[in-house]
Parts: sequence; structure tokens; C-alpha cells
Amino acid sequence: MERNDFEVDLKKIIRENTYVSINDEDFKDNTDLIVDLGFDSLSIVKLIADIEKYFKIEFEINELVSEVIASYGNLKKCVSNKINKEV
Amino acid sequence: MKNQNLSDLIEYAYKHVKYYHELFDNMGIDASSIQSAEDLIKIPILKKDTIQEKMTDFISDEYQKFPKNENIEIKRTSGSTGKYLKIYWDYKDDIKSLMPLWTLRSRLYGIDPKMKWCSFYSTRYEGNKIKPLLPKEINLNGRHMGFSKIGLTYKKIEDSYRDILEFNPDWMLLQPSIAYLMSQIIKEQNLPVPSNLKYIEMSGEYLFDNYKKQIEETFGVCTANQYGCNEANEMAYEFKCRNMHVIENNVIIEVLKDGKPVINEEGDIYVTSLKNFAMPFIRYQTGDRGILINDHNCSCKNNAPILKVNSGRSSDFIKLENGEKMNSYVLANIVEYTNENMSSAIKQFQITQTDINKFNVNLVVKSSYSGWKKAISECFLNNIQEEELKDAEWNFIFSDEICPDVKTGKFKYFINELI
Repeated sequence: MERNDFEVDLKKIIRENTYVSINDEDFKDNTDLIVDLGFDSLSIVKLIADIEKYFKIEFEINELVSEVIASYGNLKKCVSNKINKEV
Repeated sequence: MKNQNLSDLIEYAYKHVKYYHELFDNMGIDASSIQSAEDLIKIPILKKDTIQEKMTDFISDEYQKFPKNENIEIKRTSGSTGKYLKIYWDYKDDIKSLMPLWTLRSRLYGIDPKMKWCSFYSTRYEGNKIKPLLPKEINLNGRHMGFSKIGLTYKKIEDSYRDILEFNPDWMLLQPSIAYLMSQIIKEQNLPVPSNLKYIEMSGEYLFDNYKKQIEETFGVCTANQYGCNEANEMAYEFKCRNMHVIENNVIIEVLKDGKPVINEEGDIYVTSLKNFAMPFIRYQTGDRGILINDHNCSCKNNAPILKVNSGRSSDFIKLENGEKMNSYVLANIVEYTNENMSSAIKQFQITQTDINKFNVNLVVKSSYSGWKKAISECFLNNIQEEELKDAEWNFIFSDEICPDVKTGKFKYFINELI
């Protein structure tokens, strides 16, 4: 998977899981999924499931309870590491 | 190892919370030097009494004014220690702190947030206003059925269970005593189990091994124990290995004995919430006792410390004149409403049932309310909603403090001398 496709796809999945309207410039590394993008504990779980399914990856338990999914930057980095892409 | 979440919280608490700012300055503590869990020992422990006396000193200055005060939601202590406290959260931080629990439920037990579920609740707030209690309500577009746990008798739990059968949830969040009573009802009356039920999570009280066994056998589903408090939300969660692991991005847990941290030894459990910025709790005494195990090779592969809670909250039952039993949560609720009417005058309470229809109400009130004993007593009586309790004899005793049981060292907010 090409780097550009990866991020495009990740942003698409994030957009599909929130009711907040998100522009490309809203996707900064320190963008908080809950505070800035309107995710709650329920939609976060669905987001994780959709990311895992689409990219055919699996988050570890330790990753699920860490800050990896709290910010867009952390999430992006974690997903890219799992699909063996440099970001 | 540096814990960035902890550093951020400590810096914030120093900057925005009067109590911590003064404490650090008075003790010469450099907030930036608190980088890891090991550094926490530089900060004195915090007890509920200290917060009760100067409540506003513990709330962030940002949340005492617009716009952040619009984000506040209020919770309260369960009253399990008899010490009443209102707790402030930013609703966004509350959501963040709930996130790990939802992801664990999903990964370990297959619980999807869109599934139907049931739970029992006590007092709730909308923002900073107490909500009227309904015996039952349906929320979240029909996904959640909630029941009031106030005034619960065996009959009311049975009625609730019949509603649950009809609702047919995928999972339930229950206090162990309620789950256990439900399992008794199912066995005695040979009732079915909801056909969709796949998981029961238990929280809010000490979970006895025999309770867990009976609940699992009767319902035929996985159960998980969860340990938390409204001050810090979820602190530890039971994995399939049957151990409760600390939820490390939510809290730092310490077990102290004679004021010193211990590992693999029983002591008092203290918590530092890494998520509550509106009202930070740092090295806060939970009132529970337990053991923390750091070095382990747990089969679940989770490296987080294992927490064994050895004692804590349990709820006895009130014995009624008609022979029925009523859950003692009702008493904590009466105190809650009394405090709503009397500006949180009651700091601590312990109620003892000495005979059928006879109760001693032992209250510790704030020093500024020492002249208000009659008014507080009358307010308490006016807040008794349950018909079964209205005609009982209530003897009020006002004390300077209420101590744990001298034999066991435990504190219970309700004691039933008839049992």
C-alpha cells in the first residue's frame, strides 16, 4: 500500500465514524480524536474495528489501553508501523 | 521511566488547582520533578476529609468559570465509606477515561458498543443538577435499560429481572449483590436466562468468589470484575486470565503500608487519576485494601500490574417488617439528597439497624453546620421516600468522627445488627 493511499484511507475511515465534519487541515498530529473530532468511547471502538478490518491488522491489548489511539498522530504512526510503512 | 501523562497532570494541577499549588510551594516540591510513578512519593497522600473541608480548592480554576465550567459533569462517591463527596469531571476527560474499558470489553469479551445492555444506578446528575430518580428508564435509542438500585427488595429485583428478560440484553453491568440475588431468583423460580446474554460485568462492590461462581454457573456466561471509583473511573479490569490488571493510561495505583509503597503485600490502595483535570486526585486514598503485583508472567500477556482487592465495599441489607430485605443503597441515597438540600453539610455517616424499624443514624457534619443538627435530621427524614422506612424510628447521633471497626479495621456505612 502506498503511503499516500494509506493516509487517505485512514482519514476516510475516521470520517466515516464521526458525525463531525472534518477538513484535511483538521488532521494534525496532535488532533485529539475525542476533543477535536467528536469521538466518544462508543465510536472509538467501532473506529478501531473498522481500521483493523480494512488494513488487516490487529491492535495489541497494550496499544488499546495506551495513548496510541488518543491522537491522530499516534494512531497514524501505529497503523503505519503495523502495515510496515514509514511515516 | 518517564510518564508523560503524569507529568502533564502534575504541571496542570500545580498551575490551576489552589490546593496543589499551595502544597507544592509550602513543601518546596518542584512540579516538573514529578516525572514518573516513583517520584509521587514526594507528594503527601490525600484523604477525603481534606477535600471535604475545602472543596473548591480542589477544583481547577479553569473549571470554575466560563467556558470550561460548561463542560462539567458531576458524580459522587458511592457512599461506601460513609464519606460523601461530589466529584467534578470535564465530560470529555470522562469519555477519554472510559475509552480503555470499552476497547477491552470489545477485544476480550466481544462486546460491541451498539449492543443492548442493562445496569442499575443510584443518583445521577445532568451537568451539575441532580436528576429525579426513575425506577426504570430506556436510554441510548433503546440500547440501554437502566434500573434504580434505590429501595431494591427481593421482589423489586425479581420484577426488574422479568423486564430484563423481555428486553433481552447482550450484556449487563451489575453490582455483585444484585447479580447474586438475581441468580438466586433464577434458580428458585426456574426462570430462563436472556437468550442473547453473553457477558456480565461486575463493579461497585467486593466480589466474593462464591458469588462469582454462582453467577457464572446460573447465567452460563463470562463475567469480569471491574474496580473503579467515581474519582478516577476505571482503575483495574479482569482479563480472561482471571486477574485484574491496572488500566495504566487511566491511573497510577499505589499500595501503601505505614505510609510506604509495598509490592506483593497487603496495604491501603491509593490512586492518582491521569485523566481528571477538572478535579485532580493525586495519591488519593480509596478506602480499599489490596495487593499490587508488578513482577508477573501473566498468561494474558498484559504487563500491567495485577491488583488484588482484598476488601472494600460491601452492602448489607435492611431487614423489613414484612420479612423482606432491602438493599442499603437507599440509605446512601437519603444522605445524598439531604446533602443536596443542606449544602453538603454531612461529611460522613454510618447507619445501624438495631431492631426492625429502628435505626441509629450517626452523622459527622462540617464544623460550620454544628448548629444545624435539628434541621439536618428533619431534612433526612423528609428525604425518606420508601414507604417501608417512613414509619421507622430514627435516632440521630452527631459525632466528631466515625472510626473503622476496631476488630476488622473496615468501615461500613451500614451495619445490620439483626444479621
